[in-house]
Amino acid sequence: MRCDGARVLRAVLAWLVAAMVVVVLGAPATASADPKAVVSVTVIHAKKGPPHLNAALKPMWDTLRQTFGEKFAYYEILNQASQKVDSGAPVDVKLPNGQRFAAIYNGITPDKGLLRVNVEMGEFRTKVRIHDGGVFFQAGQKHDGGTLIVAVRAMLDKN
Amino acid sequence: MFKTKRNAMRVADGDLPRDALGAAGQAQVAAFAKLSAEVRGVEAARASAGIPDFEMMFAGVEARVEAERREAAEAAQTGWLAGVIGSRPLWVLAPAGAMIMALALGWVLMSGGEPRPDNTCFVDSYDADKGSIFVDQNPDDPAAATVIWVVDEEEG
Repeated sequence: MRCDGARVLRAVLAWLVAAMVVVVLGAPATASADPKAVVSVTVIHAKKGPPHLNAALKPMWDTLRQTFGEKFAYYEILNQASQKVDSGAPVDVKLPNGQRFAAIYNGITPDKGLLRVNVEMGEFRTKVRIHDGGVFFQAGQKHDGGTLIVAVRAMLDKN
Repeated sequence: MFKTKRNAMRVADGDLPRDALGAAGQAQVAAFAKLSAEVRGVEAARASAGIPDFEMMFAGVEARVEAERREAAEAAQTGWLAGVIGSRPLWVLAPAGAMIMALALGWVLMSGGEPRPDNTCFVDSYDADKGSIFVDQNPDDPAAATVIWVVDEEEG
């Protein structure tokens, strides 16, 4: 009986020590949490027709032209959102059909420092990794004689 | 009579006195005076015919040398750069122009305007209950952005 009590006591102590080790080793990991990021989501209505570029899209013009080439000539912004977010927080915009489009920043990869971004739009889900300041597009939904293009950009918050 | 023709020529030119000359001496002097007159006549005829006068040519050369020396001095007074360019414009302007062209070319090649963003995108997963998904990307061009096309099959 006495032997069993000592064994239980040792087991409890061992668990306590293990818990302390986990807490101590886990503390730096908590301290080095993922940095904040600025995530921008821009809903663009693109179509053929007379050339048009919303003035706010000028900084993105080279990327649009390189990516979509001759597919479209008309680019107008329908909605946009830009927020500084912690890892796990979404940046939402509403599409013209009322659907929610969310870009969720999920921290950075430990090796190359790429930003993980998840996208949710209706039943569609995707997970990507991009460079700091990089942009990618989700496109394909038809709208008013053209196509919806959603640009997602994510950059680490330098402040 | 003169011992040397040289003295006869000097008398004919008036460098030596004509006193106490015999008839032969007088004849010798007269012959040289005549010869001298003929030479002067020929010289005058050449000058009137436009044959270049070497003395005038050398005077012109000296005047030109003097003018260049004066121009160089004035250029040096207006500044070393103007002086250098003024004396040898091609030697200075040609290398300077080549250097400016090389710098401009280097700037264009190195900067390429604004820095191109790296839009490389690694698509780890995608999923949709309906429609088709296409990932359009150009791995050879990091600046070209990835497009994840989600197309409803009904829409085609």
